[in-house]
Amino acid sequence: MVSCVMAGGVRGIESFLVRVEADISEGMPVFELVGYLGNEVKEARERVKTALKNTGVMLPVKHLTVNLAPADIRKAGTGYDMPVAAAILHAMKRIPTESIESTLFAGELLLSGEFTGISGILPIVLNARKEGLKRCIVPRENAKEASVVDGISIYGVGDLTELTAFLSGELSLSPEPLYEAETDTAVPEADLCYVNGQKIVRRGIEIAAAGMHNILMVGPPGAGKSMIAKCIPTILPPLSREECLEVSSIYSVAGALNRKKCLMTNRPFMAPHHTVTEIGMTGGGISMRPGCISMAHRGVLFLDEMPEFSRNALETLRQPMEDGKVSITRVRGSLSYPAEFMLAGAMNPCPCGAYPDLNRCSCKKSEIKRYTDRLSKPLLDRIDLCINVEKLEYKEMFTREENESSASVRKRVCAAQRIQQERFKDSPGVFFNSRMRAADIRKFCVLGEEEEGYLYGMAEGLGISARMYHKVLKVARTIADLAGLPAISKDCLTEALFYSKRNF
Amino acid sequence: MRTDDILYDFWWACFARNYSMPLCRIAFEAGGARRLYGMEEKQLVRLKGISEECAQEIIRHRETFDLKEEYRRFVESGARFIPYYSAEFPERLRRISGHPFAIFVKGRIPPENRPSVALVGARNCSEYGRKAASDLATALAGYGIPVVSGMALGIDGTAQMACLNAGGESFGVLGSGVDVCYPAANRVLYERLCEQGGIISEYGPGTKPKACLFPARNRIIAALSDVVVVVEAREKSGTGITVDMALEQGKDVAIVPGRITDPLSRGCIQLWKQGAVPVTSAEDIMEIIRDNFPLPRPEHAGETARDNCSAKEELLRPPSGADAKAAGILTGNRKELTGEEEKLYAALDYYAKSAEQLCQESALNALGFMSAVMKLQVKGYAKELGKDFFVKI
Repeated sequence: MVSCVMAGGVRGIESFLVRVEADISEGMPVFELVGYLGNEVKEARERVKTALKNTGVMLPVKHLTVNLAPADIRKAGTGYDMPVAAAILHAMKRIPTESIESTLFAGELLLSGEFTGISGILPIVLNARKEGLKRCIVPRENAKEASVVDGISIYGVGDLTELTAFLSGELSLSPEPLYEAETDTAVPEADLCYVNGQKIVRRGIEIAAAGMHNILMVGPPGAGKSMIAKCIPTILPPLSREECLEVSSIYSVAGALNRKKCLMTNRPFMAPHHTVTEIGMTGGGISMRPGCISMAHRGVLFLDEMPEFSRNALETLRQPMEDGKVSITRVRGSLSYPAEFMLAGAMNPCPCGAYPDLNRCSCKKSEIKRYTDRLSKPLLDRIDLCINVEKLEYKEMFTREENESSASVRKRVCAAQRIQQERFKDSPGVFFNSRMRAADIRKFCVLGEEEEGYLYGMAEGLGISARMYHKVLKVARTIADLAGLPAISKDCLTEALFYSKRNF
Repeated sequence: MRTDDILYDFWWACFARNYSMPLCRIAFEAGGARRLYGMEEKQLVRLKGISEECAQEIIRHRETFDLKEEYRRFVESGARFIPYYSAEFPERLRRISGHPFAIFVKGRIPPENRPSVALVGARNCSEYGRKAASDLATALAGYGIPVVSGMALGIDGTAQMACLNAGGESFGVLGSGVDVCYPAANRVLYERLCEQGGIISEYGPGTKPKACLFPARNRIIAALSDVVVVVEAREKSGTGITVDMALEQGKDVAIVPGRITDPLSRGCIQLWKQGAVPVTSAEDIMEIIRDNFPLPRPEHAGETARDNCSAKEELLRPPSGADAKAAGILTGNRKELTGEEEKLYAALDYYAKSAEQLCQESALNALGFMSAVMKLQVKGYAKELGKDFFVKI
């Protein structure tokens, strides 16, 4: 008789069920493990054999075959150790059949027989629930992370002996309680109340956050561009439960969740160093891990010193910025990760950072041009807002005036985003003003006659291109939403023009 | 003198691209460029100022130099070759010691019977310098005074362009061949100078700009002008060389004053302290000219003494329309500005100020400021430098 237990495989952040079948028959005493396996899965044979021996289970001197079905999908990762062991135990009749029914196993084995945590547990458990399984058995290390998912029982086990005892009914374990995100008691590192002065900048990031517009900050070193960028997640609406799970799945696959922090409750903030490679940015590599842009999903991707990034790394951003996901194609197939992020870039106005203060800047015009030209036009076209962050005077820096806090700004941003959700409920793929396509702009950014004339006059006088014109309309729409106005007013256009113009 | 002597002179003048050496004196000592051309290495080294290497260089150069062909190509390009002994050679240039052996000219050369003014300064200039240079040049054009400069980015080019725009004459002295537009960004200015004034260089056609050629170029700028006005300069700058040359040649040096805290004005203020005359308008420059400009000599200008008087009187005439227009911008005739725009305009300066600063100084709220600053840009009273930095224009 063939024993069969369920396991989960991960592809991107999606998971699929894998049936681990074990069969013991007469023949040469061999342990065969088949089913289109990656190297680390093939090694499971040695780990399982030794771990079983070390916990007092000797394999029968018979022909042992284990198959991982479906056999046409490549299996990767070390999470198959536990299901393979469980299937063998069942085949050896050490555990009853009902104990493995409707149960998913995932976990890596050490030679001593202990289980150790794996990455990607969250999508596996989410999929198990979707497939209607009743319980998951995972290494104790992963139990907390898995317990984020409701509607399925999670059991954490420490080693093989415990697993056998539990499955055979000798030991009773209580399921892991549903994980409730602990409220962050730590004082957040960034909050707008710590940002003194910078009124124009504060307003700029509020607009950016409200419409999820990409933003570029220009300013000298030490002006506080990074600090302001860190504030952006704090004014974005909190993640919904669904979003939490989605973001956490990505972090789970990347192996970035830990015992302490099992659920990503805050908006992600990714700030890769400017030496990041193309693959580091988009994801990929041998294990097809998610890259920075996916880790910034539903959050902020902050690129400090943007012109210093390699051209390739920057250009790869373009397609994900359009589609909200990134497709990675490699020899082993292709998969896609979600990458719906808000880009916040920062750069100096010139190589030395002091332009246009000619008392301090001695960069040549040509040097400045070469510096700003490192950002390609198509990329800049995808950035709706551009703000100047300047160095504060010392006296401004040390005043203790009451600044509006992030929480208070967040309320306005939430309200503006709610208006957008209502607006785009019939437009698939569009969630925010920044993602409006030409047709949406025509539909939702209607101007009155007077406003139209005003914008036309200003755009012509300031030399604004057609592409910029669209940006201005999108930003103006967001400003109107922030003010709760149904139509775009002249003031909205003025502000949108001011924040959209780039001047390089 | 034989008619094809000019070919040999042309060859000798083109040689200048390789060495800064007293071409004139050597040619004189050798008894003319034709003789030089025919000399053996042994004879060449005997001349003062020619080393062995230099002699070899000369021989190599003349071997690869097709006299007739090179000259023909040069003339066909529309440029002229003017050796020092030619009647066309600018008198002002001939007067300085160590004058060039010859000059290459595209367009015209500065008129002999008119004083001219050099407007020079930093390449990386401020908006204040740009404004001053262009106002002065515009007004000078109104007086009919040609502006001589180096066609560089910044002050030089701005002044020359403004002069041409006001219908004046301007002359660019290059540190490269006359057929090489340097800097390339000033292509339009170069073309217009060829039409409306002239391009002058002592280096042969095709000579690439090299740092070592520029100081010598500056002496020609000084020589061709009667007053050298330094609009903006840092303490150590190439403009300093022009000033030194001008003083050596006994020219008047004037400066445009600026703030003592601005590095770009420090060079000017330094010169002021050393005795340069501060000028704040073209009229101030005209004062200097009227005091010093020698009456044109009849043999050159072909005018009678009475004409000379009238020529001088002409210089005393009140400013023409162009100058009045320039003055209009300075004194402010800004009826079309609204109250908010006027407030903001008062806060603007020729030095870049940030949006945040302007917003504070003009006491406007953020929205009012944004609206005002963009309207001023549209109306042509303000300009954006960098992102969210504004200057008035």
